[in-house]
Amino acid sequence: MNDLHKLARIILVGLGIYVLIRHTIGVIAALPYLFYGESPLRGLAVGQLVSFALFAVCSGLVVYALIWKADFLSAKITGIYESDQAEVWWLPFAFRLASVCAGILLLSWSISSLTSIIATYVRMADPRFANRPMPWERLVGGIIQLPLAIYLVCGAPHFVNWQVRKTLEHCGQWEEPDDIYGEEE
Amino acid sequence: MTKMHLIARLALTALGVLVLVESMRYIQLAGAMGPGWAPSLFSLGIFLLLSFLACRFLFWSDAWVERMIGAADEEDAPPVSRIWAVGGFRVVLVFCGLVILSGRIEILIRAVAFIVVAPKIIVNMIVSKSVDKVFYMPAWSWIGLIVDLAEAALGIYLVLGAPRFVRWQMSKFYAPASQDQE
Repeated sequence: MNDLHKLARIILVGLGIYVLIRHTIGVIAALPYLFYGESPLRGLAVGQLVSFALFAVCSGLVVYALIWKADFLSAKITGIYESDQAEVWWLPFAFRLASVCAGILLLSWSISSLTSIIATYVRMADPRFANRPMPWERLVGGIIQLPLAIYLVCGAPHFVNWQVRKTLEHCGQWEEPDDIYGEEE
Repeated sequence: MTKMHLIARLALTALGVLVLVESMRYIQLAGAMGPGWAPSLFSLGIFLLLSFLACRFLFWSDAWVERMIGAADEEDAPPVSRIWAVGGFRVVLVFCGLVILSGRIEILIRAVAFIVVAPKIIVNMIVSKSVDKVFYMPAWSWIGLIVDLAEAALGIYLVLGAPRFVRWQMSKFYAPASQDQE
């Protein structure tokens, strides 16, 4: 495990702990609504339970991936840029780490958002709440968030390459892609 | 600029961006306050204070950086290369931009949808010589919308690497890139 790998792992574990705390508090804060809110209606209670279960499973998977399986992700972030082959060897790593961290945060938000959308639809199935439709932009936003988060967590290869190119252009050091990306291209 | 100076400057830049976004919430809050001018004025005051702090972090942070690092300790330290400084700034700003933009996806979708239907609405308004009901909103809704759009625009600018800001920062410490190569 080299230094970059360790750095990526430390950041991922830190982020995992943040996501764990955020989601745990979210679930605890929502518990009173589950038991004392609109739960007397069976459909609503079941819907909320399903939503909570989904929320808990997704959160658990994210936290598991970040805390116990951080090596896999950190190795993915480090990628092939391990050797000091040029002055810019760290640039793709830094951009990829930034995009993965942003992706994890977005994934965490999108899980909350999607479970909230599911809960709203379950609530709308009840005639008493059918007149409270969900804003369409919230639905579309929730749907777009998830693939975007997955793309960022996967390292956003096109975005990272573009950023590296722009940075090198800024410094007047842009060369042919073969020289910069080596074997990846 | 030494490595420690760069790290301090990057930290202040990230802090500045986050404080700037936080300040925007208070102008939204000032617009959404109920009757009475005192709460709105209070929120406006917080907005001005946070904006001033953000500007200090982003544009006039030299004195703070010197104080954080200590000029005497850094006298012998070698300066970092231009690529490190540019890369560091861009990485930090892109990360801030991604985080800001992630929370503004809904407003971006609304903006795109409006751009799609706007020509039809404008033509209808010209033909009927009346203002469309889309534009009938309370003042605080307009303020909220403008702030949301400003935040989304800031997010996009940062995701693009904030080229002008980075160029301005670099111009303080390094010769232009073309001269570096010569």
